[in-house]
Amino acid sequence: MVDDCWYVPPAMPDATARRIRLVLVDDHPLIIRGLQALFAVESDFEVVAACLTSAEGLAAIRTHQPDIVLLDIRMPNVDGFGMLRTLNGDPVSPRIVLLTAEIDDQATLEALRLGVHGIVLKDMPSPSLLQCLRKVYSGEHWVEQRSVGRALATFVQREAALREISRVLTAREIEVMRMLAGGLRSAAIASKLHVSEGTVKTHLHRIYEKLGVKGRVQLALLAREKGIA
Amino acid sequence: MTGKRILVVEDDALVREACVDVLADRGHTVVAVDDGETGLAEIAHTAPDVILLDLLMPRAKVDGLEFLSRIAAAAVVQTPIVIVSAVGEALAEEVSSHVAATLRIAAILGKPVGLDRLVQEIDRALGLAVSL
Repeated sequence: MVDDCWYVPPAMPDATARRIRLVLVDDHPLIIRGLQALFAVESDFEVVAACLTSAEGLAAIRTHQPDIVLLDIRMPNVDGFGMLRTLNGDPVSPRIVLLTAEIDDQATLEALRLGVHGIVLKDMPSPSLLQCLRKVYSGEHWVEQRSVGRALATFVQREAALREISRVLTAREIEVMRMLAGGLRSAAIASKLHVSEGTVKTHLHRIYEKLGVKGRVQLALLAREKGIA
Repeated sequence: MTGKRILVVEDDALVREACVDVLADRGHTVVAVDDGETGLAEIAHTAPDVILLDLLMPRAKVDGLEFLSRIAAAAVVQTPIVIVSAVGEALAEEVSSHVAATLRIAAILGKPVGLDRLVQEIDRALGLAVSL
């Protein structure tokens, strides 16, 4: 509940400037304390709530309608992505900056698809975090362009490969190929598809013929090369 | 080149309106939507000659990536696509011409994009549409 959040009074009141109102959400109290100490000495920031769980964070966001939410991705129960999905259903949602120890390309892409405005690694120097928040507040994005470019390109390449392969294979054959590339044996694929192992082997032989590969190893390599796994 | 049908799928109202204005001024018929779901329906209705597509639309039921995926799955749709994205420049560096051709991606542009450049790439895509 919001009552469990830590409310921080403005550290350096400034009657003339509009301050950037923040809600902090992170399940590590030490991180929260560190962030509070950082913002306490910055005259253009105001932490309106600091929360240790997603539920507290959601309630605080809806109550305070901050400018920016500084959100940890990995939290127990509902993680940062779950919070983002919930917030996207609200009529108005604040700008979100993810604060994370690490993030891969795919998670970066997922975050952007969910409307995140900035991604900051926890090992970045604090001036970078402040710079990120000021940029995001002014309407800009703060993400590592190359990482997002790579992730988007992986998505696009997979779609292109699927389009090419779908000209040759049936939907069921693509499904079998994807499972095989994911490391499943014929028996496991059969179990997942509710068919016999013999049917799976028949599918596989047709796939080998159509794609001109000599067995499951070559097929798995081709699938991974095409991003179908 | 005028009088073509252009579908704009873009969730940013300002960008969407700017695209509509500049393309309509050149004599094109422009249908603009803020969600890929509506965009997919419009393809059937308006049979656009080119699609201008934003990829990241967080509040859309169908975002630009999902839109692209569904277009790719529907092999009957042969419409050239011009992508406009905040990360367009980074994406353009990573996507090969072969992949772009497979998905009918005529151009990938970064935001903010100049309207002159946008018109230029739309014209180029329309040229592709005629020659294919």
